[in-house]
Amino acid sequence: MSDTPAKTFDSYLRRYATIFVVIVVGIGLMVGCSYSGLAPSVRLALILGLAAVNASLVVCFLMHLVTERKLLLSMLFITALYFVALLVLSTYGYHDVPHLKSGV
Amino acid sequence: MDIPYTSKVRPDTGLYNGKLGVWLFLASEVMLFGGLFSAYTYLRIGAPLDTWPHGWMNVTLGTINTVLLALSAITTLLAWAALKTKQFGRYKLFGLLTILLACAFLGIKSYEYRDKLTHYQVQLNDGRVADGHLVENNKDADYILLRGHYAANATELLDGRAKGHPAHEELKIARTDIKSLKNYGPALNNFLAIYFSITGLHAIHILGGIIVFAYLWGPGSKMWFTAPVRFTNRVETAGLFWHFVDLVWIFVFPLFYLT
Repeated sequence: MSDTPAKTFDSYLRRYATIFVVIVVGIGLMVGCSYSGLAPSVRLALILGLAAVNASLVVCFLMHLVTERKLLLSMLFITALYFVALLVLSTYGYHDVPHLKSGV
Repeated sequence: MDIPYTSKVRPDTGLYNGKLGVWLFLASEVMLFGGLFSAYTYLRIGAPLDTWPHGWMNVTLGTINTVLLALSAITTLLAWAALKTKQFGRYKLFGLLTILLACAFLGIKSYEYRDKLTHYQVQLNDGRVADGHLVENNKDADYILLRGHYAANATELLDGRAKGHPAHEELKIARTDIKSLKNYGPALNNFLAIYFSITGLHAIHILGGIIVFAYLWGPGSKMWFTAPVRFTNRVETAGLFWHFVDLVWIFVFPLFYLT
């Protein structure tokens, strides 16, 4: 949270209130999507996409990662790689077992 | 012994030690929850077609909880901003709001857990399933009372949003007709097992956050009068943990409630 000390409380309030409103709109859209008549795969992609947008807002602006030091960013990059690898490997592992893939 | 760099920035990292420490902790937390989300992915894609439950969670309560947690993320930032602008009274206000919102989140979650744990699937000897909330299960009686409805089989119950479920009524079921009686706890199926694992771990994190915020709001806040910068940094690091807890919920909500 490397903000300049000259900011007033009201400027913080305005900024965070705006982000909160955007996040709530994102939540509303996710719920709306889940009740829409879209195909399940499209619905899933849309909902997870909106969740990713909300998550980015939290990480970038509420956790102030956009203004943080490079050291943190490089550390988190490695963590993110690990996280993605976990998800990809489990999916890959599933497709690697023929009897699971065929749903038997 | 003085702990170094609790207020000032350490020259080589460009951060005070507490902040670097909490980010390292959060990185390990990503790995902890990452393992569980990976398990969720594996279980979900591995489930045979049309066997993964849908619409089993209360979307209204889940949405309220998501908004409450997002709001608490804002109040924790405003508590920190109040300290940055040297307004201790406002810190107390927003700190208290954060604690109350977190308690409300846990209250709703407890209600949801209770609802699931008192909800039963009763497999009958004739192949049908009675589904509903247990009203009476007196061991001395030769029947149980359930408020719910009958389904032809358990598969019919997989889509909680499907139209055409009959209205709930009180069902009196003789014990001799019951093949098995299972509540909607972790043992019922993989969906509920991973649901209780992830949301339970998340709830423990919420509880931990409440304890930390309560300490910083109560006895721990005395530090403001002796070491204000260090105290502000403590509130900031607690806030970073709280945002992570919010971040996890942002994915938990759609995965279990909406998809």
